[in-house]
This record gives sequence, C-alpha cells and structure tokens, in this order.
Amino acid sequence: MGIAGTSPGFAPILRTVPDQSAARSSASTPPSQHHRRDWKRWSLLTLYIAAYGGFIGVAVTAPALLATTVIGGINLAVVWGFALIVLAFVIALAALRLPEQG
Amino acid sequence: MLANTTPTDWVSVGVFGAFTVAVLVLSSLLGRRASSAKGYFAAHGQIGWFVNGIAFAGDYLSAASFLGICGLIAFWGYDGFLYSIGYLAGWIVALLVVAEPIRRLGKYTFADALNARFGSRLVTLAAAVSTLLVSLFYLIPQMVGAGALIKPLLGLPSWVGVGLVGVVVTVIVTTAGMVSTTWVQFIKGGLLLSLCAILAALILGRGFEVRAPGPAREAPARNVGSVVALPAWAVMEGPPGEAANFAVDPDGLVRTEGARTGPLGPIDFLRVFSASDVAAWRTVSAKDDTGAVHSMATPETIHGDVLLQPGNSPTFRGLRSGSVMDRVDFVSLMLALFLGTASLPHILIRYYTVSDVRSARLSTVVGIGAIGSFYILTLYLGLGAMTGGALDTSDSNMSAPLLARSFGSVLFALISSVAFFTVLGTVSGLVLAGSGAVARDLVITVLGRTPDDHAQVRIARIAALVLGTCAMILGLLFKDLNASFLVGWAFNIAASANLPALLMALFWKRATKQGIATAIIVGLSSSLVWVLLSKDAFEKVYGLPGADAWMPFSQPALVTIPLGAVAGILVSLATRPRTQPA
Repeated sequence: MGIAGTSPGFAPILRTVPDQSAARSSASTPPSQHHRRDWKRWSLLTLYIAAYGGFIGVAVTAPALLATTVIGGINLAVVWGFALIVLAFVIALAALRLPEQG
Repeated sequence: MLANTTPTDWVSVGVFGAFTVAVLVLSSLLGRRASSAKGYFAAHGQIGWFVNGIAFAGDYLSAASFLGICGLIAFWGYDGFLYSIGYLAGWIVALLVVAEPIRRLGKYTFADALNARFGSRLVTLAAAVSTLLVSLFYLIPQMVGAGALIKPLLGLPSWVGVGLVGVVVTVIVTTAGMVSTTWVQFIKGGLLLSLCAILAALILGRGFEVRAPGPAREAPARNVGSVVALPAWAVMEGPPGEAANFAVDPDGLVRTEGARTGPLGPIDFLRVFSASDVAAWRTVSAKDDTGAVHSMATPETIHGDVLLQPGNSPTFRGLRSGSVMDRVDFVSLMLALFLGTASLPHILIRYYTVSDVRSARLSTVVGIGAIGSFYILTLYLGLGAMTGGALDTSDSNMSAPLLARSFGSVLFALISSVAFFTVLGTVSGLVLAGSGAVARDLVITVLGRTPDDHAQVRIARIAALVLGTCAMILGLLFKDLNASFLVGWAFNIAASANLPALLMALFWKRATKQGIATAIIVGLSSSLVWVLLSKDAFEKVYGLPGADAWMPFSQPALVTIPLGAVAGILVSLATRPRTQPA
C-alpha cells in the first residue's frame, strides 16, 4: 500500500476504497480547479471558525458586550448563538455545491 | 396540581411498553440482515442519505443534548445553550474536513480509516483502545439519563432504568447490529424532533404566568436522599407592576399560578423573558453537626437578561470572575466541542452505512439541519422548564420530561419514552462502535490474523454484552452528575485522542504509523489523566475540595489536542523513511 497522491490542502492523500464518481471527477478536473475548490472549502471553514471564534473571544474578553440589546429586545448573546446555528446550516447547503473532496 | 406518576400510571406504562416492544420487534425483524460483517458493522452500505442524516441526529441527540442541555438551561439559563452552539459547530468540521475521506478510506471501524495507509497493528491497537475509552466515557451520561428518566416515568429506582437500557441495548446490538441501530436512530431522531417542536409550540402558546404580587405560600419540606427542598416561594416579575407566585408542592415539584401573558411568538418569548425577573433555583450545601452534608434548594430572583448571558453556572462562572484560568477553561471546553464531533467513533462509523461519498455529504447536511433545528428548540424548552413551574430542584436532567408533564400525562409519557428511546439509540451506536473495535481491531491485533466474517460478528456480539454491562455499572456510579457536563469530558478525550491522528493520517503525507499511534496514545492518556485530576473531578466525582486538584483548569482540550499533534508530528519526522519509494 503506498501513497497515491500528493494533493494539496484538503484533498485526502490516499484512496483505498475507490469511489467511481470521485475518480471521474478527479480525472476530469484540471489541477488549477483542485486548488480553487479546496480554496472554497477552506473559505467556508474559515468563515465559520471566525464566527465561532469571535463569539468565544467576545465572551472571554468583553462579556458585557454580549448583554447589548441588538434586535427586538434580544441581546447579542442570543442573536449570535442563533446566528451560529443558522450559519452552520447555510454553510452545509453551500458545501453541497462544492465538487467532491479529492 | 401536577399529576403524580406512580407505577399505576398506565398511560406512561403503556406508551413506554409500546416503544420498547416496537424496538425489540424491529431488531428481531432486521436481525437476519446482519449475519455478515458488512451487514453487522455497516448495514451493507445501503442506507439512504436521508435516513442516514436523520440517524445522525438520532445518534448525536443523546441524553446529554435532550436531558442535559434542557436541564442546564432550566437551572442556569444561557450556559446550557453554549453546549448547543458548540455541539452543532463540530458538524462543520465533520462535513468540510472528515466526512468524504472517511467514507472513502474506511470500511467498518474508526481504525480502518486511520490505518488505511499504514496497515499497522500498532495504529489499529491504539485506535481500538481510543474507541473503547471514548465510547465508555460517552456511555456514562446516557446511562445516567436512563436512570433519571425511569423514576418519574414508571416510579422505579434509577438502577432499574440503567438495567433496562443495558438489557434492551444488548438485545438490539447483538441481534441486528448496524441495520437495526440505524433504523432505531432514524425513528428516534424523527420522533424526538417532532415532539420537541410540539413542546416548544405549547410553551410559546402558554406564554408566561404573570400577576400582581401576593402572599408567599409555604409547602412542607421534602427529603430526597440527602437533598432537602425547603418550603420556598419566589416571584417572577414580568413587565413593570406584574409578578407571579411560585410555590413548592408537597411532592417537591415547583409550579406557578396566576394569570398568563397569553401566546407569544418566538422573539416575543425571549423579549419578555429578557425583561423579567425570574426565579431560578439554586442549591446550597452545608454540613450538620454529625458531618452529614445537606443540600437546600431555594429560589433566587435573577433578571432574565442576566440569565440570557453566559456565566451563571458553576462551569462558566469564570467568565465573570476575572480569573484567567476560568476563562482558559471555557475556551478549552468550546474547542473540545468544536473538534470533538469529528472525532467520535460512533459518529464516524455511520459514514460507512451509505453507498458513496456524495451520500455521506448529503446525509451530513440533513443531519446538520435536523440537529441545528433541535438545538434552537433547546433554548425554548429550557426556558420553558425554568418558568413552567415543573422543576425537580434535585435533578436537572429531569427538566424537559417534567416540563412535558406540566402539559399533561400523555405528553409526559410520550416525551419520557422518546427520551428513553433516545438513550437506547445512542447507547446502541456506542456499543456497536466499541464492539466493532474489539471484534475487528483488538482481536486482529492480538491474534495477528483476521477472523472470518461470522467469527467477527460472534466476537462483536460478545463484546457488546460486556460493554453493555460496563455501561450499566458506570451509569450507576455517576448517577448524580449532569449528562451534558459528562459528555463535555467525552468530547475532550475524543478530540485529544483522535483528531490530531485523523488529520495527520488523512492530510499529511509525511505522517508515519509510529507518529499516528503516538498522537493517539499521547492525546488519549494526557486528556484522561487531566480530566481525572481536574477540579471538576475532585469536587463532583471524588467529593474532595476543588482546591486540592492537580490541574489548573478542568477542560484539557486546549493543552492535550496540541500535545497529541506535536508528539505525533515529532515522532513522524523522527521515524520517516530515509528514501521514498519510486
């Protein structure tokens, strides 16, 4: 068993159980598009990490900010929390449009 | 008055019995499909993506999510919702990073995917031990939840609930493996979501009880083991000039009385809560002359807006204390929740039950939709329980079922049975993951050869029996702890032991088998030791002063995930082959 490829970024570096659709996709996709689709995947993950990390950062460094009323008499903590849950679903839907990993 | 539940509450007994029989019949019918290893461990890879997605929700929405989070919110407000946020966030890592490669590389167990490049017995052994320990840690809160549920549902002691779950799960897993486990998860996930949506709608329809302040009502004291709920009353003030009385019933359950706000929309519900003073129950412990510890539950009036901010519970109080270590502890827990989901063996093996990579991704998206919807509901369920007048002040895990009881015994029976079903489903998945690790990974490592298909299934069934027994014992030992709190530890250990190794194996071409095994061993042992020597363990498990704890904070992920990763990288670099094969 050896290393099947040296794909950059999020591309897994080995396939032991070949998936036909992925194999077709990879074979027909130029290297530049591999980078681009990995970039999109990375961007979605970064976006969520920023939103989640930002929430944690504010809770740790400026917790009083979370008490600020923002929408409809509801504070920032609740709005940000709901937004993180909704954002996860939006990113999941966006990920459906990404080509298969690898 | 709230209905009293006793063994003669035939509605509860009937609903519960029907659920249990349905699960056993389903397992029996599906049992014939699980005679081969592929059928037993991976349901032949023929589960549809939608069914698998809801089954993901069934697997994931465990006792910790339903009983634990609702209980934490009911007692401490927003702090419980932090778990909802963290648990869901972890699915983004699962979707974008591990779902597709795991489906492509693995076959039956977590070790399969991890070891695909190496074929190493050392990696297999380390992954199997990690799977077993993580599954056992995750099993504890499920069994605690089962024990908590059986008492009000059937009027039986908690050990009966733990025993019942152990027996039924062992039957499910030993008879039909992943096929029946998946369908049990699918049905349970669908029922849990539907019933919680109904419960949330009823909470919004009921609104809050508010009225002009009246005289305090007293009720007889109540003894629950060492817990004494004193006669108490509280005031919940709504919009200016309005308030409601809370009283403790003779059975110790709290209920409200007075006029209502009427139905509220989802936003209005939160707005009114934010603007109100709310009676939140607090427990104070003290020693008597004989040295026995007594706990008193007493209401404390807190403004709703404060309850809708983090930092009220003992776990998260550090956010307001100014202590650096307390804040580090919070960051560490949120990191564990974010990275733990993609490291849980019983979640990862569900990717093997679908036919291809596309189905793996689609099922994750369905799972995120279902799980996210549920976690939004948890805030309403928890706040509804806090203000609904049906709390058991001695057991936060019972908040959601008792909230359902305030709407009638039928809904209570349904919710409790589904909650019990929830425990059954999650425990089944965990026992299946653990038994697979034993049958395929440990046995192969020890024997040095792969047993035939039928032998693997036979060994897995014996392992399931042993694991089920261990789960029952652990559930009884930890029965007094909050389920979600316990799952936090499981996430810490899973993320520390599995994630660095998984990422290295999937994405780093210079990783070696020694490096992967080292990452698992270092991450697993360091996080386990840290948890066992933490302040939380000293106070809540050993009953010792937290000041005596060895570790500076309780949640280890912030230290032990990087520690495992660094150890794995260093060992990989030190053991890399001198020359690469052509």
